[in-house]
Amino acid sequence: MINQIIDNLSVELKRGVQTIVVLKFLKQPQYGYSLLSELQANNIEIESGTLYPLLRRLESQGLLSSTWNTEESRPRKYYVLNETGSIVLEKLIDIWLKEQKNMLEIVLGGQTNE
Amino acid sequence: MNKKYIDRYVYDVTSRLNKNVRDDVSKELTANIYDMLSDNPTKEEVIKVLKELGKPSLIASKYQDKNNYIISPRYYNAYKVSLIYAVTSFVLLSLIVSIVEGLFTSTNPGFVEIIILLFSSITTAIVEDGLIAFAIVTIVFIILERSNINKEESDWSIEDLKEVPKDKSLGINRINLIIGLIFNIIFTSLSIFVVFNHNKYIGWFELNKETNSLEMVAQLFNNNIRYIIIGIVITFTIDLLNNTYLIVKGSKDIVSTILNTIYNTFSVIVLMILLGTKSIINTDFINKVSVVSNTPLDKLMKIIDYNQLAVIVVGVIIIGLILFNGVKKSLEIRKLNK
Repeated sequence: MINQIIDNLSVELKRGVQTIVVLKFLKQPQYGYSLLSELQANNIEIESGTLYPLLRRLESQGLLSSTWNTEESRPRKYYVLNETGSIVLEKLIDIWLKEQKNMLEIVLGGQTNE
Repeated sequence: MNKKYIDRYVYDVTSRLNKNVRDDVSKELTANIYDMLSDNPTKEEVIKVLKELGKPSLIASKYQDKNNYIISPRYYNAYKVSLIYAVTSFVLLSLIVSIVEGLFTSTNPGFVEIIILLFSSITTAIVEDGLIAFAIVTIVFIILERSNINKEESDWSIEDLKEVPKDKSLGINRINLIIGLIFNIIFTSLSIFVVFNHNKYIGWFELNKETNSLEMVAQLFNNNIRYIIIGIVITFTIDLLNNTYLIVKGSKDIVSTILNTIYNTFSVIVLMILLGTKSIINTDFINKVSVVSNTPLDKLMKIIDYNQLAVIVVGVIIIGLILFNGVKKSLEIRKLNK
């Protein structure tokens, strides 16, 4: 029961930050699975069933551009960060850094003061 | 043959999405799945990847942009489908009951009364019973949401995935089916009503100068026309069966093709009986026509005989075509399923 709660909360906790990583990794064009592999290689735990819909959502929000590459043996949809996406990413990193600094002070600050 | 499971999975996911994104998501998801697999994947490998992607309803809800959190994404699709079915069936049931009740209890309804009755029945059915159905479904889902009786997300099997319709033209549009059903119910109720009360509405009318109103002097049909109601009810039942089957199954197949053929054949037979049976036509009416049009009675009778023959010939040809078409379609479906 308690593990279930921890699992759910940690998924929520990671979700927002994962968007930053996904946007960051998409400075280079990537298709779904190549991005998934790269994220996993960097110890980012994101499920395929979450990542693929996320890519479409970011595209529909205008942060990513996509093209179908049909030159390879298998057609693949490539995503890449566009100009709006870059601006949003910068902003998000900014917000995250500030938030993180603040959080560190609040969460860990009390501990170190003791 | 593992491709079949991937196709079914992708179909299950995309059939829950908006039409305009279906093709693209389908292409992309398929590409992603193949990327995750080796060149010649085993069934176990396919199952592992599909399980990793998660339950089709869940991934479909993630593909949808909206957050519908009164009912969480996990249940949203089930909620939507249940809502459509519950509301339409409640409204339909209420419509049938109130129309039948209204028509058979009012002693002498005129045309205007019937229209008013129809409109008030439809409005009451939609507003009152539609709302009741909406409330019941929503409450059930809220309870489901709050309780822990729901299955785990990982608890699904690829054997549960439904088959992809072989031919997209065999796919059906449930909304169209339901609209068709509504009109069919209205039409059937009205025809039963008209046939039952034919002695009031169908016949030779003449103006009564004293009361200054139209009066029927000879009815067109004999009362034995009421037997046709049995045919109307049977035809309606077959159509109801066929539509229910289609709504549950989700696509056309052999059974629905056979039901459809039976329905068409029966409709034509009922129409043939109505148009071509001499004994249901009232002789008073024929006499009246003979007098008014100045045509000898035996000539009129001959015309009626010819008409009967023509109806039978045309009817048999149409039934032949319907049966031919039904057999052809069944064979096509069987070929596709092989």
